[in-house]
Amino acid sequence: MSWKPFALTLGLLVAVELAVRVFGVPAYLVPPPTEVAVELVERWDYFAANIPATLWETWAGFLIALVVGVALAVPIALTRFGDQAIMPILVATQSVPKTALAPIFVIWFGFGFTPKIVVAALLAFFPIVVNTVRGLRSVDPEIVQYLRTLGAHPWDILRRLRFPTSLPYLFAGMKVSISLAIVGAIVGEFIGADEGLGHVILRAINNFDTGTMFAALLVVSVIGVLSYGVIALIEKRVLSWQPDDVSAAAGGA
Amino acid sequence: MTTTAPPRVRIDGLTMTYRPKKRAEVLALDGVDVSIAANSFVSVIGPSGCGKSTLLKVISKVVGFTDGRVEIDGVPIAQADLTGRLSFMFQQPLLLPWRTVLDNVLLPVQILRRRVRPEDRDRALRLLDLVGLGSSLQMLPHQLSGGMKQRVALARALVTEPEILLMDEPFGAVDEITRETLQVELLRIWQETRTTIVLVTHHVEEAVLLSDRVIVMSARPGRVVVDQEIDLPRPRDESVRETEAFHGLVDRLRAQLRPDTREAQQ
Repeated sequence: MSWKPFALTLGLLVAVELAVRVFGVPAYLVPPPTEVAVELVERWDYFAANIPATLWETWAGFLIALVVGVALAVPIALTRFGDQAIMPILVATQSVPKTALAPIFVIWFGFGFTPKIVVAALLAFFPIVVNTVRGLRSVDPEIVQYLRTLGAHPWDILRRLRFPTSLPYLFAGMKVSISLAIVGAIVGEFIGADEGLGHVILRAINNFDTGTMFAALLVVSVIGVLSYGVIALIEKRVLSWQPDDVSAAAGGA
Repeated sequence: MTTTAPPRVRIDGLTMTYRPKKRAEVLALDGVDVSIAANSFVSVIGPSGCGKSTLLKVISKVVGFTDGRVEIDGVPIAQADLTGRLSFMFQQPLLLPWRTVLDNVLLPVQILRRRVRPEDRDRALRLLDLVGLGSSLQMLPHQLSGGMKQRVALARALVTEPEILLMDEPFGAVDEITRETLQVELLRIWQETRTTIVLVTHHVEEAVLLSDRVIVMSARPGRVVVDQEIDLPRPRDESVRETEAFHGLVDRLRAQLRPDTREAQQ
């Protein structure tokens, strides 16, 4: 990563700080960034104690989305039934706001981690399905025909050709999904939780404590960047066979 | 040629029609008779669309046929189990980009036998040496030139020790100089392995240089126009290109091809 995003962020923060101070915006509306920074340092223990819950819900939801998404992508990509029957249902469910479903998950699964993980997984799985389907189908038909002349079974073609071909697409989907999983975890915590950064944000808003809220949002976005980084790192390892210019164009560098 | 043992491939009165979507039936092959002796090198040349590639697809059971008889070692093709006995090489190398040169060559072994035995690995290494890639085993396809990729494809086609190697324009996508090098290499490798090869090509010189027999087919519907024995001495090398006999054969086959091309253009 380069220094540029940090420089730009710093520049924007300085601008906000100046604007808030010059125009005298009350702190409960927009707290000056310096105050948010002080808040973050002073109450670090409080934030840190709430990170593991959100992190766990995010990654558990993401991994479920990954497994379910890939498992659904295979029949959708390769069978007429999957394409014509499963896919439309998935598209229809995508139009339902998952956020609106969160309360019913609390009724079904209680106040523990489960409803948050479910919301995270529901938000995260669709990009994985769409990208993996695309990847599984993007094989060179001539290589498929070549493998058939060798007497390859559909399973061989899936394992040795389609799945490796789909990996760059799968990773692109995962990079979108991980951010959605974080959103899902936070939204889940809004509905009913006694820990996690979503809980911290909700409580801060109820107290008009916007400084704490922005500090918590900062922590959430850092979790997002680091989680994305983990996936990008795995991608680089797994797709090390790709020529450099391709992996750079795909966002791997 | 032996008269007692059945030929490796025997094709009698092969006719093939197909019907493109919502259009009239097309006669692709019309009464083709070809007989290919074991361990011989036979080339098929003819204008585009004469059914040369279709012929290879019939032999490899990729497509069925309408009428006639096709036998492999005297067994009707419908009953013959060709798995592992037959290999294909195409105009494109069709390598898996995430596999190294060595792993690409081992792919057919993994599909046929599930497991790579030490002797399979040894054979792959020997073949890669034979095609001049012995020191590039761990390279990835994107690091190779077009000619090198086709060499990998050739080693891969031979790794299962097939009885028949079907080659469909294998050097059609490489530049002229690489093409000539690859022809000479194929000549050398065939003289060592003696696999039965059926080569489909547009290139008359290529066919004459490599083959024991050259079969000339007419434009659609495909028929055998000439079945020419190439009696140039074996073992051959590229110096044969300079001989009178070579040019004589090339000219004669060219002349056979010409009227068909004119017909096809009308």
